Amino acid sequence: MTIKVLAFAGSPRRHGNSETLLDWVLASMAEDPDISIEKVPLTEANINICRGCNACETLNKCIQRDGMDIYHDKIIEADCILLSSPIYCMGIAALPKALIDRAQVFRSRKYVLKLPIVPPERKGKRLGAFLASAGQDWKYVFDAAVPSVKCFYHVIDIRDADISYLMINHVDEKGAIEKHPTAKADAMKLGKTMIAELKKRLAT
Amino acid sequence: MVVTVLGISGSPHRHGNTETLLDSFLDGARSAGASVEKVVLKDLSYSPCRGCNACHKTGECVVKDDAISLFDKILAMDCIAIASPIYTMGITAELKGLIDRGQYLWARKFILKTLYFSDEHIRRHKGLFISTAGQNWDHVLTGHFPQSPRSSMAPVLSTTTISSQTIWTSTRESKTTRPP
Repeated sequence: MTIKVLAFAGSPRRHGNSETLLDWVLASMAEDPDISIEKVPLTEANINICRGCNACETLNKCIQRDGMDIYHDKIIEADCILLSSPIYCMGIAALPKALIDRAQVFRSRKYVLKLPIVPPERKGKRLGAFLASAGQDWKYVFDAAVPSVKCFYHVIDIRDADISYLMINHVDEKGAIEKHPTAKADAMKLGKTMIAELKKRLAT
Repeated sequence: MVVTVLGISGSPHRHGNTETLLDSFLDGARSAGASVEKVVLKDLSYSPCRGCNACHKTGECVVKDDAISLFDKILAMDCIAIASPIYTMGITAELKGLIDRGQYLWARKFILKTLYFSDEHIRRHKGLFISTAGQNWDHVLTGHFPQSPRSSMAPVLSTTTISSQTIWTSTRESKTTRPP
């Protein structure tokens, strides 16, 4: 049985600190032969911003036709969904915020139309992780990003307890994360832990 | 001297709750004698910050679009009211996209030290955040303005108690010097 991992790289800067963090998690997951990984840089995903029209509350789908048509289905199919973002101006970057806002269709399905997001047999078996980097060394630099990330995972049926966070502050210039004392080891460990947990859950 | 007020609507939804609240604020400012202008971000064309950090060296953004002309206007006005509904516990992607593009001003102020304002300007310059949220949770409006634990919180008015009168009262109380 293959475990499907969907990873959104949210930074507008390719191969920067938050994406490196994501790559480390994916590299440790890829050591397992039963894993299929799809990495999506949001710079290439063509996801428009939510128009706030609320049509999804009645239509159960979004009125916009763009990259989200593809990722909507992939989000449902994946066993593990990773999201990485740098912190810009004390919040999640605009590209991943657009993805999160477009998850409104899942929120309408789950809370308004009361329809399932994943089939019953897969419920409670999915995992999520948020990987973030920030230039500031303040401890509270991630505080505003987390509530939006939680919303994203909740509406796609990944419970609060099933979201992991690896957020590294005080890394700004490209490549700064390579010099961080624990980031790489923590990311590799996170990947291994998540795969072990997914295998356990999917075996039952 | 006429006080200039700029209202920025960050909602993708025209004439919804947030923009209505912003309009009420701008009406109040106009009736108090201000010169008022409103910008709707949905009507502008700008891309998100690329995170290239070129502005850290040059103080200029490499992307030339409507965000730059809007920041020119922002710098020229006395009072800036930014408005956004809360989408998924944060401001909209439109407004976040604009705020992130202000990085070149951050670079001018904190790295290059070429952007600074007179005391007079700072005394006159007021900021206001106007928002509405669907959720009734108390914390739905606080997640998106993280504050240092040591800084005093700016006056926060919940949507249930907001009125133009209390907005003005609070902004006055938040500064020791009032605008003329």
